Amino acid sequence: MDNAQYMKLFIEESKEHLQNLNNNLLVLEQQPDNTEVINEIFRSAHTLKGMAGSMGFKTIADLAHAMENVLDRIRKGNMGVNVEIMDVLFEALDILDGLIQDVIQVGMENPQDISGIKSKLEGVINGTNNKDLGQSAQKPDKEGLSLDEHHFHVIDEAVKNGFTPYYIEVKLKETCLMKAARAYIVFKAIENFGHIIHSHPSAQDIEEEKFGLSFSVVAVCKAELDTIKKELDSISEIENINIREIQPHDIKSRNQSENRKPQPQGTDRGTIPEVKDRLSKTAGRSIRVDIERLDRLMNLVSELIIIKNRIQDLQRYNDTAAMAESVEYLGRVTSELHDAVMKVRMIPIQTVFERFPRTVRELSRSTGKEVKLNILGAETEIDRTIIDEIGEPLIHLIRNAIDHGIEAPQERVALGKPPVGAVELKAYHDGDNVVIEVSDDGRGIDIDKVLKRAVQQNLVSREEAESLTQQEILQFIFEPGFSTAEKVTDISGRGVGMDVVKTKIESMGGVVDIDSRPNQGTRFIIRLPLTLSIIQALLVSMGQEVYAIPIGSIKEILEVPAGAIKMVRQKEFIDYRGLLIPFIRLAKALECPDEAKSGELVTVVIVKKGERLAALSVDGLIGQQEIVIKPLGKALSKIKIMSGATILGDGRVVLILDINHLV
Amino acid sequence: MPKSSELKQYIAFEIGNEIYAVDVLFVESIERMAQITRVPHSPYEVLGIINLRGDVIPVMSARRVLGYEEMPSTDATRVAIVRYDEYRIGMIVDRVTEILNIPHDKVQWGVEALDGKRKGVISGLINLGDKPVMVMDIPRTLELLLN
Repeated sequence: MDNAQYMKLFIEESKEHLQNLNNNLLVLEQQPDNTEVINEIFRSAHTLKGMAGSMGFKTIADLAHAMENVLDRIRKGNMGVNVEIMDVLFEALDILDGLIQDVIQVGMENPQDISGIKSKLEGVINGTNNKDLGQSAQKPDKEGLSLDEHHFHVIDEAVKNGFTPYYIEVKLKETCLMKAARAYIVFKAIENFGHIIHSHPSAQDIEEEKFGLSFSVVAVCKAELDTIKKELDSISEIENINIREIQPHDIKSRNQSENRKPQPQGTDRGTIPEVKDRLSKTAGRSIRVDIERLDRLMNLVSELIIIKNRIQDLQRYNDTAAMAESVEYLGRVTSELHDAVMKVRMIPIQTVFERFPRTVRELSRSTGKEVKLNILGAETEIDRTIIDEIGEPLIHLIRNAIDHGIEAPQERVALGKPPVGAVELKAYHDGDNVVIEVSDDGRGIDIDKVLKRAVQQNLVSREEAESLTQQEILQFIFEPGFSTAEKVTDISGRGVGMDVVKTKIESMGGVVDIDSRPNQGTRFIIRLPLTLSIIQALLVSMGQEVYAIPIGSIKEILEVPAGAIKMVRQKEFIDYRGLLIPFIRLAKALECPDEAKSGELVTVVIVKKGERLAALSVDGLIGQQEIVIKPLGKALSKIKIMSGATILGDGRVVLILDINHLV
Repeated sequence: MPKSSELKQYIAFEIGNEIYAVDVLFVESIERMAQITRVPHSPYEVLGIINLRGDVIPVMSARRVLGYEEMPSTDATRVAIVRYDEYRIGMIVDRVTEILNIPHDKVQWGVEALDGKRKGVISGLINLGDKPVMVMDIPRTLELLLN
């Protein structure tokens, strides 16, 4: 129904609020006095509660409400921030996230028991409540009641009519069995003397027994303090009762403090409209677009490029200056259109990176290692499809860095390193690639251990092992089931994972390289294509067949004398600028039926896979072209050396070589 | 289970002198033969990929799937575009003959006409008087390609 349309909005916005909460809670932990952040957090929780409520997601609203209560106390300065409180808030946030994920997945709330986390949140409040009790006996404006203007107004009115406002705090005995019923009796007793205008927790929560042992109320009564106290004392199962008249000056001072205390907030008030203004301006300039519509746009651009290639091809039948000019113009416009559409699909990698401070915080707490996360280049833009996929492998690498890489603080000090370990996440553009680096300053990967394990697991023979380069050895950690960890921890070390990281990255057309130095740390370098569907490619011929090689993986094109090919341990190599690099006969690798051309000179394409180079021999070069990558379909998905196919201007289908798998 | 008397449609095609049929629900369209680009390292049954109105799809040879000798294509050669699960693949046949309307209980199920690797590719037999029609099991055929 029309709920569906709000649903999308709800999902989008709640995701944003969750992320906001997450980010700001992390900031709050670092800067407990930052009122702006507290207000921001409170607003997010509040909005989330409102949205969930209006969608009928009761559990979400309920939990958000419970969080809001805690946040409100922090906001009002009634409560400080400490690690325990932050832990509870983070836990609540995770549960909230889970609930919202359920909504995203199944479109409705998965009713879940949240009483555990709710009582933890209340515990946080009550914990400070008890502390407050001692210090704030004379400071009613510090009590745990969040009275608003309306309440003060009611109190004022009541005082004028001869009522006296009281603040009553009741603590039940721990042995009390039916807390809600007992509270009801207390409420009833108070109502005999006047009216209850506010309670904490709310009357509903008390009724549903959603409170610890204490609750407090503000009531206006036409009775003396002692009379009320005597009456309440007669109720059994009550530990103690704290009852106090609220003085008119308390209300005033409260009001004043409302105005005075947020003096920084006063300036805040000046900035909020400004921020809002800015927000509404950006809101006016940007719109949300369904990713499917963008995909459709991208597909149309792809079609356009295919037909452009076709027209370029037809140019030879009508090779006039006017035709050439038009075709060139068409080419330029389609290229620009492609760029423009691609840019629309690009979003800053920030959206992925911003999840990680939280991950690092938790890992650092669970491993007892101190870790600082540095994020660089979060503004680097990357295709939307990659954004969705890259988070998981990155989390894995970060986990590994902290669990295996970073040493315990004492160990670090003994090594002369700073006790706090550093994990760095860095993103930047490099030509047609996006590079993401995950590095740590930990102990590094033990090459000998990796090699020993690789031999043990029969991944390589003892003889072959001797001739492997450091890079080749490091690549073993990506083998399924490979682990050098002696003990399995909660976080990593079961030997599953690194292979998944590699597979995932390769499925996006990327590569991973490792750089590791003993005691200096490890760096994973992930290279991903900027876009997944349209690329520049070099067309090469192999006999009758044509293949496309992505320009992004080509370093150079050369002609080398046939005699320059050297044999090393049954493998062919050529000398490329003083470096021996593998020589791959493409005709053989591709099982070409046609006899490979033989002559004095061999045309080779020097390709790169991350840092590694290789030379591919080809029969001929056809030229460079913008091509649209089309998948090969599931029946051929096992063939790794092709990343897909493309359709040329003349309708012919040409395979695109996947250099990452060929080399 | 379909009701026994329910009519089901099959597309019948020829390979050599024999007639085979596939459930029409698996067939998206029947196309003329197109130029095939060979794909290295592909399964024996897959001849390569074709351009189907801007989409790239793999094609397999029904001759190879059913254990016949490969033959050059003719004017009558057709590609049946078959769809099942996430698969979309062309199946090259010698000639498409007709569409059959057959009650479910007129098909003799559980016939195993082929052995070894191709076991299960033929799942039923329709006795149509002069010549029996062999019903191909498309899911099983596609599984065969993957393994």
